[in-house]
Amino acid sequence: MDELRVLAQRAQARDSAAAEELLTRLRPLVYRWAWIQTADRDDAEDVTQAVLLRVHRSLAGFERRASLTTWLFQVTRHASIELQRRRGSWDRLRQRWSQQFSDEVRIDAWPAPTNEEAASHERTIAIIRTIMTRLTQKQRTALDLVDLQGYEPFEAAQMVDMNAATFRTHLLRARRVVRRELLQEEA
Amino acid sequence: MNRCGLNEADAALLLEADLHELRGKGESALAMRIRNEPNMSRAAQHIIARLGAINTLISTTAEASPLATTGRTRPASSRHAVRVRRVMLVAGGLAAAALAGIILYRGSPRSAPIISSPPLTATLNASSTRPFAVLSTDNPDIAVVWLFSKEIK
Repeated sequence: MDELRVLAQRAQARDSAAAEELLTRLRPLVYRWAWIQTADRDDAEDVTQAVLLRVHRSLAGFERRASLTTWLFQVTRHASIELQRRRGSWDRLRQRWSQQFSDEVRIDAWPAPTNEEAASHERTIAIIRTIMTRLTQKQRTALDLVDLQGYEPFEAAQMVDMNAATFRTHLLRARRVVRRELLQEEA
Repeated sequence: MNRCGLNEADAALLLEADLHELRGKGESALAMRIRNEPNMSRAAQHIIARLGAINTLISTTAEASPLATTGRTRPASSRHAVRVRRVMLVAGGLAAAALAGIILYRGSPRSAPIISSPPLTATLNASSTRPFAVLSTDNPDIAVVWLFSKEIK
């Protein structure tokens, strides 16, 4: 994140190349968070654009923030919640996502060269579909931050502005669903 | 017994374990069992490996997400395609509404035979505050009301 601070300082000084670099660096991270939050790739794109716009407008304060990650995550989270509020039904979003996922991820992800890798890839897609469709937003977020991205639980709880015990409850529920499915695979 | 050769009680321990325990780190009873028991170790390693694969695939997909800043495009089943489908849906709805209007017009006792009617010119009156639009025509007896579906963004 130190590099991001430097980029933000340069961007603030009207260095357009630095601003573009900053937004390019942040985009995948914001998109990932937005995807996990919304469970919908189109919505994740909308949220990402809104967040990056907010970052661009907030450059003056951006590099002075104590925790860029936490701030960025919270902006993404609020933008996702706002979008969901506008869109309404979770079920419809889940259904739409689950229809989109198998097509889009296969195309976006690497081509699997062997049958064994293809089978593993299919299983991974199946698990991600489980994460997106069977877990609640809070469970998904907890699982993604801790078990996938490697944040410490206390740090992740702060990012989502939740007390540690409640956060852990969501995390454990998510783990039970996902790991039960993983243990059913051939080891 | 699951496919990793664990009984239910042992599997239940792995379902909630923190990552450092799954890696066999620390002095907890579970970490020690994972270090010492091949079945537990194999299952724990399987979970860690699969979580890594999931993380990689999500990251790969996020990296490849098509946004204006990158200039990349999404193939085949893209949101563009979704939008095209939505536009087609709207066009289909509009066509159906226009057809319904014409049928109603033909069914009206005041209407002239359709074969001799002049071409219709329609004006669309729409407002973002209303869930419908009115297509007025140059014939005062004909207007088409187009109800917006909630499914259409």
